[in-house]
Amino acid sequence: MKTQKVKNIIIFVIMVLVALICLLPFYFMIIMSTQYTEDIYKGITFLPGSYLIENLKTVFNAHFEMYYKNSIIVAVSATALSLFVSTLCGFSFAMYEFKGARFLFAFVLVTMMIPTQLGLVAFVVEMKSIGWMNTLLPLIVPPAATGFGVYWMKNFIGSNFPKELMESARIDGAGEPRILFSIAVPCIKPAIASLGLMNFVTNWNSFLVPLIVLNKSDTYTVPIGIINLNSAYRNDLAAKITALSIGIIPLLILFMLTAKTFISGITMGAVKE
Amino acid sequence: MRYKNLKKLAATGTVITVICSALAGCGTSGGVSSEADKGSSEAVKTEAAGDLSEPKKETKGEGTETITMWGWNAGDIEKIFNAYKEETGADVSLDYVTVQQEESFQKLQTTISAGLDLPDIVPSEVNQRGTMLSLDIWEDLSAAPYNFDKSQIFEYEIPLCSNEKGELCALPWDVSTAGLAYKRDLAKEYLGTDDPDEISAMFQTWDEFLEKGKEIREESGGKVYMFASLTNVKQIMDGQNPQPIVQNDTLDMTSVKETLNWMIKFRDEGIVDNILESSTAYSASYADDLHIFYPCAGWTPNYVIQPNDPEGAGNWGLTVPPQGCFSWGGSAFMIPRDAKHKQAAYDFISWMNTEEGTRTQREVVNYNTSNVEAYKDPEFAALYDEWFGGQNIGELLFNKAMENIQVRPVSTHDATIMEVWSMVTEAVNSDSSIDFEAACTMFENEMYTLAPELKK
Amino acid sequence: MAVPKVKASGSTGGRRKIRSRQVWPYMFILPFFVIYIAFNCYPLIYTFFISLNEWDGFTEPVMTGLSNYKNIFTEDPYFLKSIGNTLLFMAFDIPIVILGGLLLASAFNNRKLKGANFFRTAAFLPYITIPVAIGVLFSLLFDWNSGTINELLARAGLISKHINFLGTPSLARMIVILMICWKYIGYHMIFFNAGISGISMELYEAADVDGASGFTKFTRITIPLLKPIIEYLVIMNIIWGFQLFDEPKVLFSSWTSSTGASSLVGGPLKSCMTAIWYIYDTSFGSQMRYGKGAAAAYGTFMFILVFSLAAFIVMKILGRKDRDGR
Repeated sequence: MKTQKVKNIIIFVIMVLVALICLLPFYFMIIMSTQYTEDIYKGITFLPGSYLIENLKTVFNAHFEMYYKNSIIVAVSATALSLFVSTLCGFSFAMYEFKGARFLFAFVLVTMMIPTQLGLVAFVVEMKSIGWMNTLLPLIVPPAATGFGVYWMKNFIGSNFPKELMESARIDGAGEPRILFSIAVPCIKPAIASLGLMNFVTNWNSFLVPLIVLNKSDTYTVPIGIINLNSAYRNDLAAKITALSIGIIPLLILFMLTAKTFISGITMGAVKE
Repeated sequence: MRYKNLKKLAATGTVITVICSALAGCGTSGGVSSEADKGSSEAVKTEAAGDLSEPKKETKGEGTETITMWGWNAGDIEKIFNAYKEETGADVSLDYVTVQQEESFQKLQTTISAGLDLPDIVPSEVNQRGTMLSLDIWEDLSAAPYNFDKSQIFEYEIPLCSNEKGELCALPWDVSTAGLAYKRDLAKEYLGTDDPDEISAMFQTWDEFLEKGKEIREESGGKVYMFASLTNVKQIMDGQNPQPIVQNDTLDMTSVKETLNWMIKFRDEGIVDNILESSTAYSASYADDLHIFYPCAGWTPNYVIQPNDPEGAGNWGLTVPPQGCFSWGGSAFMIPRDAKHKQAAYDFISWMNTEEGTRTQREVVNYNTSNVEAYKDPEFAALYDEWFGGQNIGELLFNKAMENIQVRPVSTHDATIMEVWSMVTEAVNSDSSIDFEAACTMFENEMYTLAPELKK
Repeated sequence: MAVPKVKASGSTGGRRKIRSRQVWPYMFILPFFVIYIAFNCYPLIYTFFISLNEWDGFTEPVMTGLSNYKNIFTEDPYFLKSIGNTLLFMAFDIPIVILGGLLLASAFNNRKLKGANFFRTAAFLPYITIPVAIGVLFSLLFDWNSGTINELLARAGLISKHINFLGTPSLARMIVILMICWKYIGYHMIFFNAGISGISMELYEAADVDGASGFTKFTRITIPLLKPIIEYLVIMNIIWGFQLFDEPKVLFSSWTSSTGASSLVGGPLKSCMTAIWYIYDTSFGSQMRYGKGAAAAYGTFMFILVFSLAAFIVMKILGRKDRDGR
C-alpha cells in the first residue's frame, strides 16, 4: 500500500514536469504578448509586462478579425468537405468487395507518403488556370482528398461497423447511401470527431500554400496575416506573438470540447487493426 | 420503388455536386471566394472570366484608377499617398498589399511563373534588386513614354537602379548613404572624445581602428567591443569595396577577399562580439554599454536605433568610417511591363522623386528620399535627429558621403551572393577555426554550387 | 433468412439491387479520386515535365533532359545532404517519440490519478500549435547571446560560456530534433494511452497471478497488443518526417530580427536543411531554378518510395517472425 503511494507520487511529479515542459513555451508566449518588442529582445522574462493592450491594438488595427474570419471559413469548410470525402471513400473500402479495391486502396496508401509540397509550382499554375488564385478555394478543395483520412475511416469502419448491420438494413430496404448516412455515420461519430480535429488543426495552420496563392490582404488567413503583421517603422515581434497566441485559441477550445470523443475515437479506431 | 429511386437520385446528386465543385469550381463555389461579401453573382462573373484575375474595379476609393502596390510599409505609404493626392490632385486610389520583405522575392517569382497579374508597383530591397531586374519584365523608366530625368536623383543611385543593359528600371526611394554611428558615452570613455570629426580623424585606416579596438578591449577588461556583429563588419567592408563579385559569369573574389580578411582579423583580435544580426540579442545591443559602433544609413535612426534604444536620445553620434562612406540598404520601385496602370503608377513613384515629393515625405513620415534639388537647399539637407543630439547628420549623409561614394552595380547573382554571405558569415562567426583561406574557399565553393553556370 | 426475402421481391428488383451494389462502391470512392487526381496527381505529373527543363519560371523553358537530375545527384552536394538530414532527424526522433510516448502513457495509465485529463490536454497542446510559433519560440529560447536556456544554465553555474546552440551544426540538429519530439510526444502519448486503456485488465491480473514483474508485463502484454498502434505511428512519423519544413525554416529565419537581416538558409552549414526545404529554396529561394527544384522533388519522391518499401518489408518480416515465434 505504501509503495503504491510512493509510486503515485513519483508518477505525479513526472506528470507535472512533463506538463510544465509542454506548457512553459505557451506561458512565455503569453508573457511576451504583454511586453514591448524591444524588451523581448533583451531576453525572455517570467513576469508579464504592461503592453498587452497596445499589442492587441496593433493586432486588430491590422484587421486581424478579417484573417480570423477567413481562417474559420477555410478550416471549417475544408474539414467538413474532407470528412465527407474520407467517410465515403473509407466506407466503400471497408464494406464492399469490388474489382480493383485492393489496388485502389494501395494507391491511397501511397498517396499518404507523397508530401503535397512536391508539386507546388505546378499546383500554382493550375490554380491560376482555373481562376482560383486569390480565393480561398485552393485551401478548401484540394486538402479534402487526404489519403490519411481514407485510411483512418477505413480502419475505423472496418473494425467498428458490423457487416451484419448492413445486411439487415438492406433487408429492410435501405439503399446504400442511406445505410451509410443514417446507420453507419452515427456509429462512427468518434472517428469523425478525431479525424475532424486533426484535419482542422492541419487546415488552420496551413502555411505554404496560402503564402503563395493569396495575394490580396482581404483573403489572408491567420498564419499569413501574422507574418505580414507590421506596425509602422519596425518589425513588431510582440504584436506578432500576441497574434500567434490569439491564433491558437480556437484550436484549444476545439480540443477541449472534443477531447473525450477524440480520445475514444483513437481508442476504438487505432487499437484494432 | 419510385420513392427509393428518388432517394438514390438525391444521393447521386450530392456526389455529382461534389465532383462538379471540384472540377469546375468557379461557378458553384463562388460563395467561398474572397468576393463572398460582395454578392456571389458578381464573384461568379469575375471568376468565370478566367484570365481576368485582376479584381473588378475597387469601389472603396473615390479615384477612377486603382494602383496596386506591394510593400512592407503600409502605414507610411498610406500617408505618403494621401499627401500625393492632395498636392497633385491625382484622381487615383491605392490598393496596398502587405508583403513581408523576406517573402517579397518569392512572391514575385510565383506570381510570374503562375502567369498571374503583377501589381503596378513592385518594391525591391537592394540585395535582391539585381536579381529581380535581371528578369526582362520591367519598364525602362528613362525611355519614352516616361523619360525619367536621371539628373533628378543622386548619381550613385543610378547603378543601383539599372539592369545589366544599363536601362533605368527602378526609381529609388530612400537615400541609402551610410556612415558609422557610435554611442557617445562609450566614445567619451574609451576614445576620449565624442566629437565626430575628432573620431574620424582618429581612424584614418582600418588598421588604426583595429589597434584602438584592441586597446579598448584591454582597458575594459574584455567587455567592450568595437562592433556587436560580424554582419556589420561585412556590411561596411563590402560597401566600401564595390568591385563586382560576378562579372560576365565569372567569379571575382577580389572584393570578397578584402571583406573576409577584415572580418576574420576583427574576429581573431576579438574586437567584434559574436552576435549575429538576425538574433534578438543584436537588437538589444543598441541599448547596452558594451558595443560602440554600428553602421548607420538614412533609414537606420528611424527604423533601428530609436526603437531599439528608446532611452538613448542624444547619446548617438555619426561619423565617417575609415576609408569613407558607403551605401547600405535602401528600397526602390519597379513597374512591370504588363501592369494595368503603368502611367498612374509611374506618376506616383516619379512624384516621390520630385523636389516637392521629397519635401513632403520628410514632412509626413520623416523619410529622406532621393531628389537632388531638394538637398541643394542647405536648410533641407540639414537633418537634426533627436537621438543624435545636436549633430547635423544630414551634413554627413547628404553632402559629405555624396562626394566620393562608390557602389557596386546591382547584378543578376545578387540574391545568390547574399545567401552565400549569410552562410559564410554565420560559419566564420560561430567557428573560430575557420581561417581566411578556409572562408574564401567556402565562399567560392558555395557560389559554384548555387550558380553552376559560373565559369571556373 | 435473408435470402428468400430478396427473392420474394421479384427477380428484376434483385438484379437492379445487385447492379447498384456494384456501382455504389465506385461512386463512394469517386470524390476522393477525382479531387486527388485533379489537385495532386496532375501537378505531380506536370512537375515531372518541368524537371526535364531548365526553367526560371519566366523565360521559355529549355529542354535539357536529365541534366537537372545529374546536377542534384552528382554536382550539388546539398541535395543528398538534405535527404541525409531528413533521415537523420527521423532516425533520432522516431525512437524517442515512440518510446517516450509509450513510457509516459503506461506511467499515467492509472485512471484514478488526479489531473490526468488536464495533463493530457497540456501534452497535446504542442501538436495543435502553429508551426511558426514553435520555430519562433525555440529560436528565442536557444539564442546564443540572449536565449533563456543559456541564461538559466549560466545562472545555475552549469556553463561558464554561452553555448552556440543554433550556430553549431550538431547542436542545431539537436534543437530541431528536440523541437519535433516536443511537438509530437503528447500526440503519441494519447494514442498509446488509448491503446492501453483498450487492453483488458484481466490479462494483467492473470500475469500478476503468475508472478510476472512490471517489466515482463510491459514487454509481453503491453507492447505486443499495441503493435498496430506502433505500426501506425511509425508510418505517420515517416510521413511527417519527409514533410518537415515549417519549423526548421522559422527557427533560422530572421523573423525575430528588427533590422530585416537575411535568414540563414538550411541552418549552419546547411546542417538542418530538409528535403522539402531544399526543393523550396531551389525553386523559390535565391536561385529560381524550377527545373532543378522539380528534379529534387522527384529525387525526394524516389527516396520516399525506397524508404517506404524498406519499412514495409521490415514490418512484414517482423510480423512473420512474431507469428513463427508464437
